[in-house]
Amino acid sequence: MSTQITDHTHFQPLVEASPMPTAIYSGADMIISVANEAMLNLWGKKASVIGKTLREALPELDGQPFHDLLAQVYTTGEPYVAKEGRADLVVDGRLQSFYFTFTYKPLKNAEGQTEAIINTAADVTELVLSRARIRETEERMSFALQSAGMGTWDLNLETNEVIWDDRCKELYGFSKEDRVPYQQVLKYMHTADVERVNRAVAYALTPASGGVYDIKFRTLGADDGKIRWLHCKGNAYFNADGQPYRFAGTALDVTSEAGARRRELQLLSLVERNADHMSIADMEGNLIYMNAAARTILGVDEHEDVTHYTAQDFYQPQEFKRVQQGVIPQIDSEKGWQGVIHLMNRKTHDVIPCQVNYILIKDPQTGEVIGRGATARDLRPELKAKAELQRLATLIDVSEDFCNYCDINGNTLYLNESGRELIGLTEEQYYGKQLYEYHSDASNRLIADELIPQLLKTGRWSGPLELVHQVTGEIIPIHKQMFMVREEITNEPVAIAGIARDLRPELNARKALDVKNAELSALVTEMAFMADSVPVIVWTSTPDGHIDYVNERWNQLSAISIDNSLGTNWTDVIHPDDRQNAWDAWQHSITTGVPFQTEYRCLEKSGNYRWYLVQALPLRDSEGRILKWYGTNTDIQEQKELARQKDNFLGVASHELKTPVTSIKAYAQVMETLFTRSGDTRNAAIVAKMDKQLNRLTSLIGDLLDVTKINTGRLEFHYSHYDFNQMLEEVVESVQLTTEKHAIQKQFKFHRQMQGDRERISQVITNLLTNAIKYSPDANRIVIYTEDHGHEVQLCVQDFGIGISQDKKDRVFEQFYRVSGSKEHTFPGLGLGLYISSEIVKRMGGKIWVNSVEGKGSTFCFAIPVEAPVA
Amino acid sequence: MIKADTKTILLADDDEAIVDATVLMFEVMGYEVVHTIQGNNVPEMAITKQPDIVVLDIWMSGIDGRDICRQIKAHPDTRHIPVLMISASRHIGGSALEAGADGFVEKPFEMNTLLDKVEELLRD
Repeated sequence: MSTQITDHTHFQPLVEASPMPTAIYSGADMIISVANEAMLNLWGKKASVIGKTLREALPELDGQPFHDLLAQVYTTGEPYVAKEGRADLVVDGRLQSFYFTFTYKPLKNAEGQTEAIINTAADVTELVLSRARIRETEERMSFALQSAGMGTWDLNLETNEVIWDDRCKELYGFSKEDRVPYQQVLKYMHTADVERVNRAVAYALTPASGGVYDIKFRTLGADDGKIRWLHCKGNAYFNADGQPYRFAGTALDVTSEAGARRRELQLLSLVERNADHMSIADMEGNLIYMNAAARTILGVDEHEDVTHYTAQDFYQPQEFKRVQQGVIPQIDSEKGWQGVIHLMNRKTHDVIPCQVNYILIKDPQTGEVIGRGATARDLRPELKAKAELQRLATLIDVSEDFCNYCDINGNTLYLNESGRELIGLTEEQYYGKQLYEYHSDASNRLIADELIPQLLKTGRWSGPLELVHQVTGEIIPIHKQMFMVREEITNEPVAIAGIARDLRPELNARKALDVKNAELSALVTEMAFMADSVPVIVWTSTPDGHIDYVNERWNQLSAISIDNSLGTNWTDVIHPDDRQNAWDAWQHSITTGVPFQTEYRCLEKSGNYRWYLVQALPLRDSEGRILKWYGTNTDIQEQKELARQKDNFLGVASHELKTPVTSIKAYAQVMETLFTRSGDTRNAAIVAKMDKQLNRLTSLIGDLLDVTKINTGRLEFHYSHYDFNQMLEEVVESVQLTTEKHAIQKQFKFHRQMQGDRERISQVITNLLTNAIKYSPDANRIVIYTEDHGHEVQLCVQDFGIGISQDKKDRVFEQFYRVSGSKEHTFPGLGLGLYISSEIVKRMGGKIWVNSVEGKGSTFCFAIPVEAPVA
Repeated sequence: MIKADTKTILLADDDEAIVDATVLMFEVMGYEVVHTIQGNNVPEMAITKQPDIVVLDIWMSGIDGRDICRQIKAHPDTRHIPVLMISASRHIGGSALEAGADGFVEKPFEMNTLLDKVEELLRD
């Protein structure tokens, strides 16, 4: 827009009223036609400048761009606007710099030509200068932060956006352009630290913390992937409601600092965990530090404060004196001291030989010696290893085996005494001898073609070789084991070690064995022929009870073949009623080695069972070990039948015998009664004697009947509850009647009811008492006593008679056995009583035994269950 | 000779000599004796004769005295009569008592033992 103006003074009142500095320059000469107070002030001029050209009024503008700019506006008619343009003006007599935001607008006439220029200006000098000052401050700060490696950050808690400076972004590994929300920051934090940082931030954002935030953590560069240690310090600011609204602070890269600390810790950890003893003491010997190994060796607990100790605590007095006087003064300030010292465990007082290295510790600043450090290696394992090596060497020296050691070319470096003896070399001769010289040609080929290649490949070889005796030329068969010895570090083969066993004794033994085996084999054939030709079944068994041979006789008799009866199959043909007993007896024999003897029925080819007596004896070696069992099965069917017939006969006979005895006895007793009534005492006495003999006869018949029953398994028992002592009293009374010489003394300690066969137990006790009387003709008493053993009652009958010798003690319970010897004839009887008694006791689930001293007497005892056994 | 209170014994045994000797024994002691060597007659005789006691052998030819005893003890007219059984088999006494006998004495017997037992049973 242009304005048609001719006289610019028209504007004067308008311009003067404007608070904004304004002036109008007329014509191409830029005559100041109007300038208001504000503009004059701005120029620092008086009103007298009005009417003058601008050049005249403000000569200081020469050399500044304003004249050219005005000329340009005047010529082009285009306005010019400048922001914060600098103008150097003479104000108060000196040239000063000012900043203006000003406009040059053309005032145009009717023809559109520029006649004048209106200049408005705002003084922004203060603004520009203060802004410059702020910028300077920021720059200075930024420079300071940068030189400290420090970044700044500002977390807007409303937007959760972090405002970083460039350094800070750099620390996190972001590029300068990145805008970063807080959540993303966490993403680039080391995972191990996130939790801790979150906690620290959360804490800083609570008013209670005072807003303080100070933490070290690691970042993982977003762009470069580097780990950096940051030390962040900051403050949270809270509003009146206690709500945090701003959280800002600095971040410092402490990566190198953390690295140094870590290295220090690593070093300390290395020292602490070192296998060798490490300790530090001051110059007076007061301990300052001791690592774990030192604590273990010296007997100091893991967490114990070592500063309580002095060196003296860890030496025996004499060694301490030696170290104190002879070692400590010799520690060289540069090289230290090395040697062996005997330390002592303060708890166990064990003395520990150690290789010790002392050094002096100096103050890094002053160089003054402030203490000494020691590393010590426990020498005991080495000493032990050395001793073991020594023993090993001795072992090889004295070994009965051939032991040699050659270099890789086969030159003998070592040959032990047995080796030298085996091949006839002296101690002076063997060294350097080629191993090919003392092996046979065949062996040498094997060594070269097979043995060495395999040694190189696998490191070991074993097999048969032949040595050559260096004096006699004898070829000696050996079994050799060889090992390749390799250099520890380079693994280069350096030597060959070998151990060999002389095989001659073994080969000789084997040869002898072969001869023996051949002889035996012939013998076995002979024996088998003999065994097959005898009428009994002959068999053998392994020591563990497996039948391994049965003669041909078996095939002729048994329902199963020889092959089917081997091992334990022979039991298949045993009668089911006899099988368990036979098996138990056999197991008993093979475990104890006692001769095997039993009887059982065996299934015949005909389908009938026949009785066999089976016996076996063990063959033992010189040390008593069982090699084999030799057994026979003898057919006893006929004997068995005869025995059964005999038993039947005896049973019938004894019953039949009793019948006439009953009537004779009855007649006799009637006679005695009648004689007594008629006063004929003489005849009455005679008949009484006859009656007594009838009683003996009755007793013998009774025994025969019982034995018969036992042998045929028909002994019957009738169980009932009864008073044991009452039964005893009755028995004792009736036996007491038969003797005048012996007093039967009773000591009863069992006072309970019994369940059992009262008659059978009476019979046993009667038998023991009558025996006691019978075998103590010179004594005048018998003792009978009982004991209560809870589930058992024990009864003993003691006599003071002839006794039984030790070797015969156990035989007295056998059928038909009678105490023998010179006095045998003195004691009549069938020898059945104890046998019957023992059978009765056994059948009742009890046991019977005797203690006896020959010439002093015997004590017969039995113990039986108080309750009848469950059938 | 026989008094009013003379007791009658019924004796059964298949052996004549034993019967003879035992009858003698009882008679000497003042008892009246009825006897038989036929075991199977005994229940009938017990009913008709009503003895004061029966003395009965166990093993008689073909007959088990224990069966006879059971018959006596089963019959209303004889079950009150005591039965004393005798046998040469020592260990058969238990089974005799099980068959209902009131006593048992083994053969050969002591005269006193037999008489004591008879008197005891007659008393009861």
